[in-house]
Amino acid sequence: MSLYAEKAVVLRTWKLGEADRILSLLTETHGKVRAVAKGVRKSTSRIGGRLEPFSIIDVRLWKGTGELQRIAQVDLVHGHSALHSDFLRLSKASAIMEIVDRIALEEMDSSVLFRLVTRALGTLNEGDSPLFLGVFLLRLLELEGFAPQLDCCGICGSSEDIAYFDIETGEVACSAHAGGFELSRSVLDLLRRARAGRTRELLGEQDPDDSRVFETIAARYAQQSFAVELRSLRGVIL
Amino acid sequence: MIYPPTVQTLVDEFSKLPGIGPKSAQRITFFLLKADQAEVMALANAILVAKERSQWCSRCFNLSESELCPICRDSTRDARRICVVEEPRDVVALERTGEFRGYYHVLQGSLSPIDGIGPEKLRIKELLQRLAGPEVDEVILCMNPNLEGEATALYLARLLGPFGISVTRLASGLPVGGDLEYADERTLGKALEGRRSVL
Repeated sequence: MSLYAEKAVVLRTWKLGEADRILSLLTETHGKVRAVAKGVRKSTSRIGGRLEPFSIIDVRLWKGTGELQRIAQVDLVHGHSALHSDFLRLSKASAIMEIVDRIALEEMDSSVLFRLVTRALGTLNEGDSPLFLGVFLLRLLELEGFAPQLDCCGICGSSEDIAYFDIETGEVACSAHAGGFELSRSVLDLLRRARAGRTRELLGEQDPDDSRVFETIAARYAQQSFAVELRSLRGVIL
Repeated sequence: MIYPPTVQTLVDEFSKLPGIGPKSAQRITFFLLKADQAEVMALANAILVAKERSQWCSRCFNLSESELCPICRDSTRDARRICVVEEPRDVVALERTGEFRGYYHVLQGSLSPIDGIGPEKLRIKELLQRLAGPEVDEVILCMNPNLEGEATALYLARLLGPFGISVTRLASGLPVGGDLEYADERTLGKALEGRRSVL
C-alpha cells in the first residue's frame, strides 16, 4: 500500500454509488490507472470540478490491495474547458479519450503517449481543424507500431498510379490491384504528409479537399488496427 | 458457493441494477428471502404497478401516470417559461425549491459522444416543436454542471438562437455555507464569470 504523486489526464468517468465516481486516468509514468474519487458528485465537493474528462491534473493516488486506487488529492493543471463548448470538438476529444482508454496499458511507462495526448488536447482546445482527428490517429498508429504503408502498392510494389487504401492491411494499392478505400490524389497527399509528421502545416490548412475522407480513412484504419469500435466517432466520420 | 437456481436467478437479476454489484445483489436477495411474505409481495407489486402505469408525459417527457403529467396539466403555471432538464429527478429537485412556476422539458439524458449519445437520442426535436408557438419567451437550461451538461447546454443555446427567445442558464458557483478558499478553480472561475451587480 502506498501513496504516490503523478501527472495524469482524465480519460473517462463513471458514476459509482450515491456520490462517487470511478475515473480512468492516463498517468505519465504508471500507464492507465483506474481510481475512485469519493464524494465528488456532491455539490460541496472541493475536487469534483478538477476531475472532468480532458482535464490534466497533478494527483496523489493511494494504491491499496484492491483493483481500484483512491484519489487522495488533486490540483488542476489545465481544464481544456473550450472542448466542452462545441459538439464537434467534444466528439473529437471524446474519440481521443475513448481510443486511449482502450489501448493504454496499466503499470507501463506511458510518457510518450501521455505527451501525445496532452499536446493533442491542448491543440484542439485552442481551435479545431478539419484534419485534426486524422492527424492525431495517424500519429497514434505510428506510436503503437501500426503506421500505414503509403509509398508503393502492397501487392506489386509499384509507386505509380496509387488509387486505393486497404483498411485490413494498412497498405495502399495501385489501380491494377483495386481493393479497399478509393483514394483521391488529395487524400493520398494528406495521408503522406501526416505520415511524414508535417502536423503543424496540416492543422493550419483551412479547408482542404476531402478532409472528411481523410479523417474517415484514418479512423477506420485505427479502429481496425486496435480492434475497437469508437462510439464517439459516430457523426464525425463518413 | 452455488445457490439453488431460483435464488441464483434473483441474484443475477439484482446484479443488473445500476450501482449493485454481486455482493450487494446477494445481500438484497437474502434480505428478501428472510422477509415476510407480505413485504415481498408488496415490493413485487410496487415494481409491477409502477412499470405498468408509468409513461412519459407526451408534452414534457417527465414521468407520468397519464398522458400529461400533473405539472403540464396545471394551467395556473407560467406558460412563458420552459425549464429544460436532463432527467425527471431534476424536475423534483427544482420543484423542491418552490422558485420556479413555469413548465419543464425533460431531455432524458445529456450529450455524451463517448457513450454514443448524440443529439438525436435526446428529446430535442420535441423541445423545438414546443417552441414553435408564440407563448414561450424564455428557456432556462438547467443541466448538470459537468462536461456532458455543459456541452448539452451550449449545443441547445446555439440551436435556440434563431428562435429569438431569451435563453438563460442556471448560475454556477459557490455552495451556500462553503468557504471561498476551498473552492476549486473551475467553480470559482464560473462564479466570477457569472457575478452580478448588487446595487
